[in-house]
Amino acid sequence: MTGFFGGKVAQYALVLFVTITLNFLLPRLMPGSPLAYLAGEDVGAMSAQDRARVISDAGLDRPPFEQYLTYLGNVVRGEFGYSFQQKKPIGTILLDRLPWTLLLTGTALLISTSLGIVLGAIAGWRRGRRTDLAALAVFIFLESLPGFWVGMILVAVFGVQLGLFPTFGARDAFARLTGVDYWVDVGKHLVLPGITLVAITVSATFLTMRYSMLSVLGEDYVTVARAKGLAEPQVLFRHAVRNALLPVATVFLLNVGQAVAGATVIETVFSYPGVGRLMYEAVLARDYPLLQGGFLMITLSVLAANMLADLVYPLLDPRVVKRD
Amino acid sequence: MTPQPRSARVGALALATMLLLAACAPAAPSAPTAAPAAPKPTEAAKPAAPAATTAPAAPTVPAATGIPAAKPAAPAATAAPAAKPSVRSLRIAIATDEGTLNPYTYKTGYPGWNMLNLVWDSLMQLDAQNVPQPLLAASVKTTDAMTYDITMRPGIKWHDGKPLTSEDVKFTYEYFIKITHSRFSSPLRAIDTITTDGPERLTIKLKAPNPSFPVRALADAPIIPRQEWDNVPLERTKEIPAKIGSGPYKLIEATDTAYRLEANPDYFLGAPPVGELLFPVIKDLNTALQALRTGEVQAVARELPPEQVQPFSQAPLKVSKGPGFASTLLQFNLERAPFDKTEVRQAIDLAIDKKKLVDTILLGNGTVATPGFVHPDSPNHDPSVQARFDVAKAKQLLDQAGAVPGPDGIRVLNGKPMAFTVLAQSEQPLRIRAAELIIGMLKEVGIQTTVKVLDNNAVIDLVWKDFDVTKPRDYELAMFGWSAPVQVDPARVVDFAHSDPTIGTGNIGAYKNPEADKIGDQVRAAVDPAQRKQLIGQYERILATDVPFVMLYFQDLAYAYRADAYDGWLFQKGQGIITKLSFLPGFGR
Amino acid sequence: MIDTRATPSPRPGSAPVAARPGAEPVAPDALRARHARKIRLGPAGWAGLALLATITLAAVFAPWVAPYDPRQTTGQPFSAPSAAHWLGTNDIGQDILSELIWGARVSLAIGVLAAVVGTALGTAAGVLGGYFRGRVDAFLMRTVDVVLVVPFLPLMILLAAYLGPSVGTLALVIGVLVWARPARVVRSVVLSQSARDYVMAARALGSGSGRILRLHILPSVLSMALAEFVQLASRSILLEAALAFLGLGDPIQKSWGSVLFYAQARGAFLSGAWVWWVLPPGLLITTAVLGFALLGFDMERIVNPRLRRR
Repeated sequence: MTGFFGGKVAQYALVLFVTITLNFLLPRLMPGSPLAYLAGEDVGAMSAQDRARVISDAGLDRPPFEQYLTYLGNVVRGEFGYSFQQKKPIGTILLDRLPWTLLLTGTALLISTSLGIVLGAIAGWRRGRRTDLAALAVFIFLESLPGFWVGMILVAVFGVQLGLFPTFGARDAFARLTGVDYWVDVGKHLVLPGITLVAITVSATFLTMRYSMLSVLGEDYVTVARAKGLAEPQVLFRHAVRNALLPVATVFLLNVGQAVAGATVIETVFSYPGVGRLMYEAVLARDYPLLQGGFLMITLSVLAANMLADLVYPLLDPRVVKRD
Repeated sequence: MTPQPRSARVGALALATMLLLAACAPAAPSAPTAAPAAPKPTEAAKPAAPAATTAPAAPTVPAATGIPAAKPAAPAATAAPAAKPSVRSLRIAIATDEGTLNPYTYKTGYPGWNMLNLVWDSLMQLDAQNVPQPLLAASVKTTDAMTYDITMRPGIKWHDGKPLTSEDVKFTYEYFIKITHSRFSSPLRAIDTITTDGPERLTIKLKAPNPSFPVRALADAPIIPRQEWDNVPLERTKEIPAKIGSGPYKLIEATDTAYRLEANPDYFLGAPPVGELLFPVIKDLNTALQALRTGEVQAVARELPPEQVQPFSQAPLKVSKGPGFASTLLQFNLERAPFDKTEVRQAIDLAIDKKKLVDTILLGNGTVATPGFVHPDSPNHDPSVQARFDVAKAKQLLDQAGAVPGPDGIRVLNGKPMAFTVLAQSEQPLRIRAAELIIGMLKEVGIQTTVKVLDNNAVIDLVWKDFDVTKPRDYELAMFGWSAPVQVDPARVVDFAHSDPTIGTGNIGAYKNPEADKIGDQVRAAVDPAQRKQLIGQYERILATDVPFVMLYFQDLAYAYRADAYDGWLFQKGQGIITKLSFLPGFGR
Repeated sequence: MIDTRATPSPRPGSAPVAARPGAEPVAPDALRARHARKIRLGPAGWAGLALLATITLAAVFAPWVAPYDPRQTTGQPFSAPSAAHWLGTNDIGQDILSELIWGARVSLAIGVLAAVVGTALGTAAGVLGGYFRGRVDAFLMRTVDVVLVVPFLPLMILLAAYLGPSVGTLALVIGVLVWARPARVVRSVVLSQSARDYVMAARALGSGSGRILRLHILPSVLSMALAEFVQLASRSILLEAALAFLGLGDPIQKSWGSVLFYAQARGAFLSGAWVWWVLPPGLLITTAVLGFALLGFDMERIVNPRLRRR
């Protein structure tokens, strides 16, 4: 048992190290430089000496390996410096964005997971019947939609034509709302991007749940339970659903890890101040510190979720340990 | 005519091509007419009476007089319109955050620098025609364009109530010289000494005569309070909250999603007409325009695309339009064969129908560019230099150069097929479209082109590595463009074709012609406008013959807003409506 | 979350096996496919095939089907639909319908090519890891973990800059991005197969690794790989569209994504133009993805016998 976990932890540490290195390497391998953002709007007018000074002030003139060592040291100390483009500490920037990203992706994840579980369970239970087929058709269709396109159309119809919901942002930054009004406003802003995200993510949970139900319903104990004459709902909930939830839990955990990364495209369509769009802009600006900090945050959360899934799984399903 | 050394680099090559660095960053442009012919006194009369303060809740336009013009040529600021009903609050969508909106953290020239300019004042202020008028200064006098005697307006106060004095000005200029700033440092480095004489007088001596100094420095660099910035090293300039200015608005809140500015009721020109300016960041242009339609914002700081000009002109929406000075061009790398051959470049210029580009891509909302770089509307433009389009002649030139069509119709020159790659920026869909049309036009004359679209930063890396023209370039053809300011200072045409890298800082194609360099040096040194115009014409004709780049078009500027919310916008020539002038009703119109 | 980062969306059927990095196989019995099965499609599969066939035919015969050359300016820019241009014209007067028909080529090509790359990489990694186990396996599976968190956008820009933005580059990048899932699924198939008696026996009898792989492992892997391939294709088409929308595709190539890129860039949403300029490409993407999804759904049912009706 300790060997199992010990080995796993070492392996994860290795993955983490490799990823941290890539987070340093990939941004710097991109062609182009952050000079324009470091120097300001009139970089072309600067003298060669001034440009050189900007570069050296940012420490970008030092040998790459030295920069890498400094970076590793800073990662250990949790220091990420200032964003080249926003000129603010990386921590502040990320902490500004994180709540909004989590609000959007988290809410969407909760809704799509619960919806997926409930409908998936029903569809699995009623396999082959009209409910099942209709649900299947709808969810496979939803899964085939390009998310940004759905978002754009929602904006056009519900935002502009009908004027039901705000079309951009996460809240009305200027309304000076408090209390309930504030949250109502935040909620209104959440509706369209939220619906978009739910629409494109719900199928994964639904299909997983449905498959899982089908497998479970084929198991002996369900047959036995039925044979014992237990009422259908009882069989459904006490036996089938509970056991079928296992793979869904894994899917859920993995999505939780990804939630931190935000949803670049949806955030773009709705001008939502999330992490995804932030990283996209940091890439275009070659904002190395922000890229390093942001990617590290995403890496850590994804790996943590994976590890959690790894650790929790054997507890839920004794077969894993047996096999190992 | 003796060439005069210019100590200040006339630099400021803001890039039109930069994503997020707005497509048309206005460095303080020097309107050609603004530069005094022979250095003669620039003077302004008495300062306007400090405006009566009004209740902050209801800011009104004071019935203050405007500032008398520096020269008769400049439009005199007329008396302020009668006090209008005030506007409580305006929301203006901007495309990107501007850092903490302090002089060292804002990002874009337009609207970033203009937002900054609402909070901090400079000694002078460009008016609607881009002629500098005294602002913090009561008068600016010079007799030789080398020594500037400046008298400050009396009684100016910082937002915290402390007096703004000549010491602050001296401190600011010395600070910008010492602590490098991409925009203010170079022009200010023309300064030799600054001496103050009491809180309201100072004398600036330059190292050499520089008639552009008022435009490029005095009307550009914001004056910052010494109390806040003293001893702040470069690396800490980012952290300074820096909310104390002297301008018509106070910076209340700066986050990466929104900015809030509040009217300064004690402003010396009177409280501005809009009580509160809110700048939400809306990344996507369509979203911003939709928000304008729904009324969530009342103006959009970004250029309205040509296809939206008509739909957004329906009441209550309104469009403010004017010629734009940002250019679009096709750049050659002259170090790569066959673009070292003048006939080849001429042939490509002749093969491209610029009028069709303007009609198709800009729907007519633009000006066909002439090959001499200078905007056709510029008073310095030589009208004999005209855009060309002649397919037959292009073919003939290629034939003469020895480029014979191969079996597939693609010409072969010196054993190599004429097939080239054009770089374009993914952030610039209009340029990609232009490139797409150019493919077809060049195919007509037997030249094959493919377009390679990369993000702007990657294109810069190939075309203008580290913004240093001495570094190696790795491209054949590139869609490129330069921002508006370079068109307003006539001498800057030289920046893009001079072979000395410290002068030709934007000569990204490595063009070299000793004759052009000679004329270019004379253009830069010329002080007499007539002589300068003549020299610029000569320079244009050389460029038109040598074609170091194919000038394509200038896109018109258009900005949309809700007239029912606020209609006091002023279109500052070549810049747009989000400028200080739009909120100073009695000034600079 | 559907995103350009694109973690493989955990998929049904194999989810318990595939979804977790570093997890040991859990339900190999679900994959008890001894040899490639004869694939008999159900109605969903046929429907998917029909959708794909229609689009593929249009793509193949684009020069004959499309009313115009989509690269030629054949009308006034921003024209509304008319008899001459059924779906109107785009911002430089090109026929939108023709763009969409020709665009099917690029969109399908990227989808299929990316899926080929992804499936090939994934299958190779899965087979090697599952068969050799131990260090090889650990190395490959940890690589999969890294791929799941590697910063995708910089990689994208990096490759586009050095290889040039093209159908091939895009397909390669997307393929490299999505091989993690097939790697895991295939690996679990291999694990379950190699634990079976006849493979053990073959090994004991001294058969070489290559021979065992070829004769006993690969056949069962192939049907699973095929199902994976179909699913990757549908995801790749969606990814291509999302990348094009962000401006990271190749706007010069006529693809459904690039049509949407320009529709967005030239304000189709601000006028009625979205009805003919935005809806059709989106629906086409949906149709193609749906085609692959239905096919994949059906194939998964077939290769995953546990889901068969008993």
